[in-house]
Amino acid sequence: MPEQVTNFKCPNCGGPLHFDAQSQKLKCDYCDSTFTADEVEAFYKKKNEEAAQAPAQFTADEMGWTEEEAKHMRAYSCPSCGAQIVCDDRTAATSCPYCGNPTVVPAQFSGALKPSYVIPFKLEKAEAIKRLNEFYRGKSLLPKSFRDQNHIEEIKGMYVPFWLYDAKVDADMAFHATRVRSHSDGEYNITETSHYQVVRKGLVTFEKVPADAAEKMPDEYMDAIEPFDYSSMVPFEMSYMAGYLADRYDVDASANQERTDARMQNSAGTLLANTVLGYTSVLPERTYFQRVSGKASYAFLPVWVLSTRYNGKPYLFVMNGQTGKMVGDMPADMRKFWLMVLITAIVGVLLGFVLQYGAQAGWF
Amino acid sequence: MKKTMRLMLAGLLAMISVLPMILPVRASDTYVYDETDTLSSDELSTLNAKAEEISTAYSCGVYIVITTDQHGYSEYNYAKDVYMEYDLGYGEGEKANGVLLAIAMDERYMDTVAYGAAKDVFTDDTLQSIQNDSVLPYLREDDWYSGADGFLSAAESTLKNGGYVDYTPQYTGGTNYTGGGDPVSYQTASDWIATHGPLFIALMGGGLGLIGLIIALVMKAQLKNIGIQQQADRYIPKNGVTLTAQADYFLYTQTSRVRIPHDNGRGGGGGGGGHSYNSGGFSGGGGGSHF
Repeated sequence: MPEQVTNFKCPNCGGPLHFDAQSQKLKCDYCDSTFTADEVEAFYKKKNEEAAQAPAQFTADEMGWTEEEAKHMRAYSCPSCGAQIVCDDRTAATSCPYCGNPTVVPAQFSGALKPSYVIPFKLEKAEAIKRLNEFYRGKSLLPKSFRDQNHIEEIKGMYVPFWLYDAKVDADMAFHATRVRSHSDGEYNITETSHYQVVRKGLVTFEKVPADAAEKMPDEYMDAIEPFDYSSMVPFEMSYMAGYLADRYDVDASANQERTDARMQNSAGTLLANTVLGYTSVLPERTYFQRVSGKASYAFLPVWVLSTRYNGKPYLFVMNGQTGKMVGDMPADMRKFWLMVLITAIVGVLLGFVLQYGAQAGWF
Repeated sequence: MKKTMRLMLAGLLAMISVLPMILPVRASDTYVYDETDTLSSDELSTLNAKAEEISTAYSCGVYIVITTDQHGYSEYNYAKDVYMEYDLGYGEGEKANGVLLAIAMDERYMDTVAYGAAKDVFTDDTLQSIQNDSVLPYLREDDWYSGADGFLSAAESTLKNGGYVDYTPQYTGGTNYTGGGDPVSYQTASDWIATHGPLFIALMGGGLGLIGLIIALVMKAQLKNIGIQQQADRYIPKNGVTLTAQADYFLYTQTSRVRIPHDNGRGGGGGGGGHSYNSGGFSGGGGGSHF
């Protein structure tokens, strides 16, 4: 099957186009012309077809890759400079390592792989770097060498594939509740505890609960940068990918369902429990949840990613490319940690000496 | 780093602020108060020294307060209210025990009252006897010093012979706590620090080191901020919740009865950092006499 890649070039001067988060348009690096996604899509539909070339000949033996490795690799020709771009079989958008032009693999966005939605980047790389620097600030236990060595400028904009789940959850819960009344007849303190069975049933609708569909993206990172503002979400167009990295999904919608169901059930349960009011104590006795309908939409959501290593250990930082919410685990400088404990202990000892001297001298 | 310094400073201040709570509390040095200058300064200091000696020996405050008038208090409550007004008592909270002779000069009225553990020996009858035998005869003669001295002597005798059980925490050299009874010397915070230098310094070092460890752990925890989402509330649209059934069924009622104790006990619940009293915490009072 022939495979092709597409560069978005400026219709005016032929320079490479990048998606500009600020203007939300495609912008030429050279002549600063801007184009809407629709304009470029229409204009270059024909060009892209022309750019289709026969895939580069690629055999495992010649390249020295194992069969297994070769099976997951793809080679494309860059339409700008003709160089071969080698990437894995999930890569949907990248840049040419030779000419640096943003490159999109249309085959990764076609047929069943075509995303329904995309939230375009809102924050530029400079803003991402600024936010990461702010994220490091004020963290006294962060090793200085980590801050200095983690190549912050290598932060990359990436469209991460997500499944957005729409569902209705039928919730049926029963609670054991008590109401306590105390009074006194002068001789006795009387406590009356009335017991109730409380039943609540309801239908809770959820819209676009996100779960990342990229195996190499840790779930806890992608969960932690929520929420995304869906009001900026638009129907998918390939031109939004220009200038960013993107992988197509490699986690099926059904594979994430269990995790998403749990989130929806927790929320449905909390909502029903919150309607049980006026009791002294409420304990859930029976819970039953059933998803009565559901569908998953495929979407690309914008994320800035910095993957770095420190003392041989990988560290990942991700930022919501729309809201700027930054998350990531950072290493602790254990030398600073224990130094802090030691300093406070020494301050305590010195203070103890001063107070003892003061007590002996009759200061207080 | 500024944040760290602020946290450490806050820890240090917290440590210093709790010192008075963990160290022995100094009892007031004044036991005899005279608003009216009825007693000469020599008499006042002699009586005060004697009252302090008795109070310290038995860990029970023995007080005399001479007021110009009844301070607007009723005769029934005069001694109790003066006890509270002067914040009397040896020890803290409900252990702030003591016995008081209160004299209102304008009304020529006197009364006695006991609070806390002192109530056990200074019963209503005992206080009445002390008033009648050791105080009133002198006050009727305007012999204020002898009346006051008589009260102190009678109080000492009562404490000595009355099987007084002391509930005040006592420190012997700062190391041995005794539940009560034997008269012991009571050290102030500064005395304790002065005589327990190495222990105090080690406590300060360990205490602040512990605070430093807690701060460091909090700062270390701040380096991690990832986690799986457990809820999906924000993805519920407006009007996305429909309650289809809502029923509350009454099952049964359990009733428990606890008899109300009518013996108010010692009363006088302790308040943090000061004394608090209730009328049930006193013996005597209201049984005073004019002279």
